[in-house]
Amino acid sequence: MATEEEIRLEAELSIGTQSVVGSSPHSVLSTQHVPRRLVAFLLDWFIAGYAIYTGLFVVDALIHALWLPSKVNANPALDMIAYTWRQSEGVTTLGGVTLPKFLFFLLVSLPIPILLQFTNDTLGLRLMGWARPLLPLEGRPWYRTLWVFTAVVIGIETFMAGWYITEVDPIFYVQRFARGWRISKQLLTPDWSIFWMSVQLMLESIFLALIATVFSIVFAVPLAFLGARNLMRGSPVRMAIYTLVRGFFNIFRSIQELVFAIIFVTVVGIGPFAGMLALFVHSVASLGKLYSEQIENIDPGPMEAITATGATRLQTVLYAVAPQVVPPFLAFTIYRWDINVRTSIVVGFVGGGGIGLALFQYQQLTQWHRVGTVAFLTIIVVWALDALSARVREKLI
Amino acid sequence: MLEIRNLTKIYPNGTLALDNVSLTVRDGEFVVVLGLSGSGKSTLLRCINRLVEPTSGTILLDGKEVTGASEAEIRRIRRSIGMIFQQFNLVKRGTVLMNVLSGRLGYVTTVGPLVYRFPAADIQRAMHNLERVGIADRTRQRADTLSGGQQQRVAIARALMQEPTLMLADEPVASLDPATSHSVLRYVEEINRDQGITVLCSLHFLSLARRYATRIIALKAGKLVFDGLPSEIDDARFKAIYGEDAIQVEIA
Repeated sequence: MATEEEIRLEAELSIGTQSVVGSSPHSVLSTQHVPRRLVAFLLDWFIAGYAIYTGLFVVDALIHALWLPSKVNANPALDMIAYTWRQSEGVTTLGGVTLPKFLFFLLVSLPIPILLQFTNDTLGLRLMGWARPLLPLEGRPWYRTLWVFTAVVIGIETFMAGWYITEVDPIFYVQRFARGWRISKQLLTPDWSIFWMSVQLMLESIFLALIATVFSIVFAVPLAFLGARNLMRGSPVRMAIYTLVRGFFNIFRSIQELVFAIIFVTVVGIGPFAGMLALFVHSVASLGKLYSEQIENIDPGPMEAITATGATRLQTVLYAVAPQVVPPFLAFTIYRWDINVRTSIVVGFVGGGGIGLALFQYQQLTQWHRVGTVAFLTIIVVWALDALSARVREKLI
Repeated sequence: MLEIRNLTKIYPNGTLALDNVSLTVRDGEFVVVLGLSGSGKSTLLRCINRLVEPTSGTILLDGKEVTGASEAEIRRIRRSIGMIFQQFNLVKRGTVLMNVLSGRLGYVTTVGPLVYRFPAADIQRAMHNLERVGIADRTRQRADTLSGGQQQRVAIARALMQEPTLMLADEPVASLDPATSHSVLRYVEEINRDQGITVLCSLHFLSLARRYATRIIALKAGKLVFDGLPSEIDDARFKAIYGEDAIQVEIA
């Protein structure tokens, strides 16, 4: 039965015009999926506009790169739409695209998606999970289908436009190689006179990371239990708390430590305390998320067994959940400490204390020998911590 | 005495797991529940201590209503119902002793267990129960260092800590080899005979059921299709429970 249905659907789709919105009274699919079909059409429309715009952009870039000096606009056709990425006045706009121009693009490209709809094999339909593989009926291999063709064209265009926007220039890099080598030579001959001072600052970074990690455990562990779906199921109130906690984790995890550092530096001033706070806030969220995922992955058997003995919810957590999650919790925490030491250096750049602050100052003063010393020390410490945390994790999980 | 009246369970996905099952189990019986996988055996056992919430019907244990009991009441009722599982459900990283002691959680009133400390009397009781299942010498070992049969015996000891009047066993030997199966079931039989604990045990093998049961019930697609003595299950009855294509397998 099911296979017959499949074949019927495929036949219907391959006929094409038959299954365009509402055109066939027999087509169950086309009436059921009108919104999906509409979204697919809009997607195709957007894709067509994007393809035309990016294509012209790439052509413009190639013309300039191959035979025109970069700042000269000599192509009359392209001048009309001004494709260069940066405007000459230093105002950055999306390749000169303003809203009227964008609408113009959409209008120009409108016939393309409309025509494409008749093939029933567009990228938009694919993305909406509508188009089915037509190969059994048409005998066409997947790489010769329209949607693959569209995807490949868009992929190539995007890559070339990206190359142009990023101003990738390998020849320029080779030309500047000597300069890089000069700095590298200085980095490789560290200034040992600041070594012990750097060690002291490194210790500050390590301890800053440690304190941030320890503080974050205190908050992350209780939150993790509230953010574990398998423990919070059952009542709407519990599910609301779960959603809230998970939302907190996701939002604060997605904000970089650097951003928190900038905020805390203005609150408590430059120094390790600001850096610690930045690492702490981010760690609560990311440790909390890792912890709660670990809780969700436990073997539910012991929970069932402890519940069956007449234990309370708290007792069940203590006796069935905790023993299963404590070792992975420890492993994650040590890993987090390792990450925090590395991040503390970045956070130091914006005033978060520790060795990062010194590194920033030496770099600003172009004292590359001293930067070399700091870098050397950083490599040693990060390598050692990484080895240590890997060893501990191996033992615990 | 356990009374089950018109018990029905429909899971949220629409599966009808139990279909109007009524059953009375008298004190001291060793009742074996037979049936294919998915016939509702596990659901039936889990409804009795409300690990699974029944859709409709009533369950009475010694005159007390299990269905409709409040959170606090159901904990007190669960306390008197021991349960062992196919996968043993021990805390693998915990010691044998801690696993057994956790069976006592329903009784504790002190804060000790919150920091994993139990009264001396409970520890003594745990040692005694471990002796009864023959693993008193391994109390400080991690539970997952034990063999399957030994783990199931630890689970029995944990259930005995509850001083239950009813023991639920959800396919307790399904992941054990035949020889170990008998050793585990013999312990269950012993507590049934010596302590008068009623046993409700689901099994796969008819031969095991015949050997240990004082009474057999059978489920098929959530319906009670047989209720009687082990000796009453003949070829026709067997086929009614397990389907036409089934053949009897003897387990040593």
